[in-house]
Amino acid sequence: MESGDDLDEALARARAGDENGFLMLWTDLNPRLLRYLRVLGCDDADDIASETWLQAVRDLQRFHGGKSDEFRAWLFTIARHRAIDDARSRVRFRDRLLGPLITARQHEREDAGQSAEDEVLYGLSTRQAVALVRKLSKDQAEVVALRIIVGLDTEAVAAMLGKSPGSVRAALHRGLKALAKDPQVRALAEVSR
Amino acid sequence: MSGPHDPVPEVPGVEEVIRALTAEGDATELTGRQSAVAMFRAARDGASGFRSPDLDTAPIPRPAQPRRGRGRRRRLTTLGAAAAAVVMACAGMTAAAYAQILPASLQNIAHRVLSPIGVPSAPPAATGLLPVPGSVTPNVPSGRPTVLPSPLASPRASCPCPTAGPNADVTAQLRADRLRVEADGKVVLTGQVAVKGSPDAGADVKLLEQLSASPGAWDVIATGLTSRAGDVTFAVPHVPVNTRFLLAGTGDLASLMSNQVAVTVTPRLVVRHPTRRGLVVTAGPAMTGDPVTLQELQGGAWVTVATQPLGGDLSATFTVSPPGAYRFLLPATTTHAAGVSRPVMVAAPPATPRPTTTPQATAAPRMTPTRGAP
Repeated sequence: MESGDDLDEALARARAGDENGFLMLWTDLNPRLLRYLRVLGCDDADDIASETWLQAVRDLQRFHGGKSDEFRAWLFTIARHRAIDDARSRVRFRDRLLGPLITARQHEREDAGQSAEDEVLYGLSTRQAVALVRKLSKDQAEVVALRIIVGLDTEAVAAMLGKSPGSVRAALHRGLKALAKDPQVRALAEVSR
Repeated sequence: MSGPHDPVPEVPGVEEVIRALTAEGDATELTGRQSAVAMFRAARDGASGFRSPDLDTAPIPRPAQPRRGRGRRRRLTTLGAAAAAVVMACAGMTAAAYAQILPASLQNIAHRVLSPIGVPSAPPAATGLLPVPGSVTPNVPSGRPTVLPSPLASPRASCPCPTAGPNADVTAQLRADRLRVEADGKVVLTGQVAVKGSPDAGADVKLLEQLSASPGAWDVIATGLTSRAGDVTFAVPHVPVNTRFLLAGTGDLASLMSNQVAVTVTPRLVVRHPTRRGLVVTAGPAMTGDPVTLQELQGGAWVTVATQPLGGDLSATFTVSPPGAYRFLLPATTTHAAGVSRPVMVAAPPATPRPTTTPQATAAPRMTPTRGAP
């Protein structure tokens, strides 16, 4: 992923109407956006990502930050709202809140094509890692996604989620500890030693 | 952001997970690149607010933060809080209006104010529910199944709806888990029967529906017995068009009748992009001849560029001049709510030179509507 300075420059160029600047931003952020949306449980992450970018480019001139990390927080706030709207419109939001077991089972089915041995031998794919994060509690999963996948700092995540920085740190720590206890992750860590 | 000043806590064993989560984007995550650039061009070429392109020499100015802006933001926050208070105060009434448990006069007021979000009007008086004798439910395309086979009536024959009887001690309420569904969506209806306010267990009830396509005709679609708690639940797996539901009693409770629950169906608009300049939209539920509107993103706003009726296969074909971002609208009718498609980005053909970038150029309609697809 690009450095902060490169992305600052890309953002400045994009705001000036430069396609290459925009493309650099998109190339860096779209994969993170898709992973974040998948952690949130969006069935159609590609569509929501497209809608997010559409709103972002439409409102780019109203974005008053100067740095790429501010843009990142802004973009992912749009994405979060889009994802929530989408979930509500499909009336599945409640199911997602109440049904982590269902979600986990769905992911188990998604990952059924690859054996644990393969995962240990070849390491985790990004898709599998995202599926592992989705198994966490909703709060932990979103904090892990925003801090690690998106790369936002604690203050930005706290502002985005309406939580205190302390609770964000606690959720991140608990989420990572829970990930470390996952059988797949433990097997992988043992092989790496 | 999460750099040296705000490091992620080190938890042994998760290094590989973090590596995978932060890996470079793969091909599947970057497939929308062309569409994204087309979208960016469309927004840029239509907008007047993009900054000077002379970036190599000019530093990027941080937008000024005038003092009045902060005051304005505070004022807006105050207004927002006031609005939120009003909304919160109304929320209970809104919920009650959704459930149609308000008095008729209040329900009608709520309907006038909140009809855009699906609050129905007050149910008509009991005598108004009587069906047209001998009317027959039209053939609904989806051929939807009933939840429980009803021994009381043919599912396709109109129902002799009960009239309100003198037994006011027995009451019935019907509510739905949702009042708006996508085309052919599922709705779960729960009825509650009470005698003098206490749950009435074992009451024999039937669920009736009235499709918007056949006003006046009420059909029995399921029957059931209430539980010890006096409730009964029906799952209707497919709601094809706007539909009203009603719970009624049978036998000794023939005079029992609940409130009506109106479920609105949002049409699904599916957009295909079979050729570089062609967009095909298919809508359902809809009727042949319903107007479908194509909009293009111009200058940050959706602008209507063409409208044409749906063809016999409920689709319409539009010719567009990419690059651009487009969407389709279907207005509300008696059978469905208004619908909007997801935006689609159409990239420029590789061999085609970019069109002019003046904002005025994008404002002119560039569409060549054609009749519905074969």
